[in-house]
Amino acid sequence: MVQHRYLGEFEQVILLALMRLGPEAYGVTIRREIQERTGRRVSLGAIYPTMDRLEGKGLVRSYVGSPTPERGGRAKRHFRLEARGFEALNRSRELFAALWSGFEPQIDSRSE
Amino acid sequence: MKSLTEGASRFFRIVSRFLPAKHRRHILGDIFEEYQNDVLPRTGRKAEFWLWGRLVESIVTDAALRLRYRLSDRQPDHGAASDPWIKEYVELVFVAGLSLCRSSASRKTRFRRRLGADSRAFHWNRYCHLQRR
Repeated sequence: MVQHRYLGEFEQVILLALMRLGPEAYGVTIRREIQERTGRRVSLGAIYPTMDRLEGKGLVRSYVGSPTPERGGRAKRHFRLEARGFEALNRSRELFAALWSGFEPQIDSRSE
Repeated sequence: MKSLTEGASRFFRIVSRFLPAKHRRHILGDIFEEYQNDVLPRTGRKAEFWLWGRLVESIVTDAALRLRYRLSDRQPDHGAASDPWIKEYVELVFVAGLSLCRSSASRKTRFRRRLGADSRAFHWNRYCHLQRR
C-alpha cells in the first residue's frame, strides 16, 4: 500500500495561491493573494523556505524571471504548480471531505 | 528614498546578508517592489522604517521556519532518518567537543608543567637558602 504524506496547512494555502495566480505567481503576488483571501498576514521570509520545501517534494517548480527597475534590477522568482502538487492538493481535499462528511448538520446547528 | 532601492545603504546591505544566499536577491526584490509601489507613495518618510521592518521580519521568519522544517523533517514519519543534516550536526558537535577537550587538555598540561617548574624552582631556592644558612 502506498503511503502518502499529507500537506501542512500553510503548504496547502501556498499551493492554492499558486493555483489561483498561475504564471503570475511570485513572492509579492503570493503574499498579496493570501492576505486578500484569508486576511492572514504572511511574511516573505515564510514563503521562500516553504517553496524550497515544496520544490524538494516535487510539488512546485521555480524559475527566474527578468529583472525590473522597480525591484532595483533584481529578478523575480516565479513558482509553478506541478502535476504532483495538484495531486497532493486533491488528496488533502479528499481527506478533509471524508473526515467532515456527516458533520454538516451538527456544525450548522452549533454555528447558528 | 531612491538611494535605498537602487544602491541600498551600506548597513542595509550588511543586514540583508543574513537572508539565505539562494533567495536574497528575490526577497530583496520583492521587498523593494512593494516599497516602491505601495508603501513609498502612501507613507512618505516612514517608508524607511517599513523597509527595515520588512527586512528584519523576513530574516527572522525565514530562519525560524527553516529550523522548524528541519526539526520536523527529523521525525521518522518524514523519512529523514538518513537526513545528512543530522549526520552533519553530530559530526559538528563531535569535532567541537574533541577540539574543546584537546585545548583544555593542553592547557592543563601547560599548567601542570608550569606548576612543576615553579615547584621545582621553589624547592631549589629553599634548598639553596637552607644551605646558605
